[in-house]
Amino acid sequence: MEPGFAEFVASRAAALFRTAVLIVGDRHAAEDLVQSALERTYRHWGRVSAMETPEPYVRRILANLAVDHFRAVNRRPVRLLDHDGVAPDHSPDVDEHDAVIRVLRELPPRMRAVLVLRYFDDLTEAQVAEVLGIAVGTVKSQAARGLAKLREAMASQEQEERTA
Amino acid sequence: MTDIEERLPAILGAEADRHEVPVFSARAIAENAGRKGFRRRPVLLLAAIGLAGAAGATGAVVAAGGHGDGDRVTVTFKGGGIWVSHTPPKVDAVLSWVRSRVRAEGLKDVKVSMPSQDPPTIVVSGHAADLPRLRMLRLPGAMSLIEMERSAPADSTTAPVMDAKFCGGGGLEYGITVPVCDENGHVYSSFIEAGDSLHVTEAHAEQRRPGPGGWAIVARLDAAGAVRYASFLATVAKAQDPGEVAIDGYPVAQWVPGQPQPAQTGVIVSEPVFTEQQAKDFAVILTKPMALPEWGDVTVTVTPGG
Repeated sequence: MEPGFAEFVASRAAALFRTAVLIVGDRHAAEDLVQSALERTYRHWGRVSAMETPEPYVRRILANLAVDHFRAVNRRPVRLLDHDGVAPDHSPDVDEHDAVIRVLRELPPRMRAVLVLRYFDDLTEAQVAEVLGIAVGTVKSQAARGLAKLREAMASQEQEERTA
Repeated sequence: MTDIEERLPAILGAEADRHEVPVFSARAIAENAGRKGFRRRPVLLLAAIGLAGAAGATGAVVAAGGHGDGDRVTVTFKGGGIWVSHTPPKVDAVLSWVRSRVRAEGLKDVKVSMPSQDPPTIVVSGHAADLPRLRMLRLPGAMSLIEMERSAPADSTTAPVMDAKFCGGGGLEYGITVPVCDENGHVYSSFIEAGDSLHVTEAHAEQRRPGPGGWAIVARLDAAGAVRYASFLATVAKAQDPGEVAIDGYPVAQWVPGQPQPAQTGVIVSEPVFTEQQAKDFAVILTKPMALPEWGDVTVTVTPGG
């Protein structure tokens, strides 16, 4: 095995998986995507490992794989809360959490990827643009539209709670 | 109310915590990477960037060569047993459809069987390295309209050109942005934006150019799709970026500004770069899979071996 690859996988695979599972919403698909992204990375590891920070390269492959995954299979809606049943929900407000995640999974795949990279991975708009290979302006507009939809979902949830 | 922008990181973090992180083996990844020395559907990508023919006159899909025999997995698709029609489809028809899907995916060494019609169950086995694509075999193909966005490199003072060519870089890779170069060697990134998939009401293969690799896919859209396609062609004609039609994200037809546009009748004709078998397989997977059962809730099980 190429030097440094095992250490990279050990240190970064979990974070890549968490990003993938938020974008595709399915544990098994996310696992496959991370596996594929790392395999492709390994084939170019000689070049990738020479980079100052290899992770953006891998994350770029992963994000594009995740978006493409949904282009191929988005005829079936992802089941909400299709979890492993292992870890408990730590969200302080399960209803709000579910409402937001439900809307998130109904967003177009690239818009969802923008939100996950921006607000979960805490990338800057420029970094998100680099990862997804799109213009910064596109990141801004996709994020704004996605947030607007999530905001609507939260508002509806609050309205339901008030009337209940 | 705290704005969603402030609360979203915590919500996403909680959602991510609900999924157990699998163990990734660097050794297994490295071994798979070594075995998977193939490029998925390079002919289609080459067609999209104007290099059709450079990959060989027949336009054949490159085989997934180099796999060993000991790394197989079996994927079982088991439906909920609910039939929309009262007559279950014939097993042979179902298997024929899935095999077309296998060929269209460029998969090799795949075994397909249907051990039960009620509940509908299809079993496929293939190389473990192909697992993501094996999981997709029960799904019909998705035809999408794509607007490509080509951005110039930071150090370029020239605008992207429409006839830019594939220029290698990291090699043709499924799922990452395709690098293209202009005649001065400037590298551009090409990003694809796709809308929802179109509903194809009928599709068939037609030979549009002499030779074994001169077959095209002809797909007729429903009324809504025809309107979207007409709008797409109008946009492409005005835009600075080219437009494409793709099946499962892979370009099969390309239009660039200035090119003569096809008749806007809701019929999409791919570029004639396929073999007869390839074109027929794509046509099969694009149409409503009449041979496949209505699945209900599907359970997908992956087991080693096969």
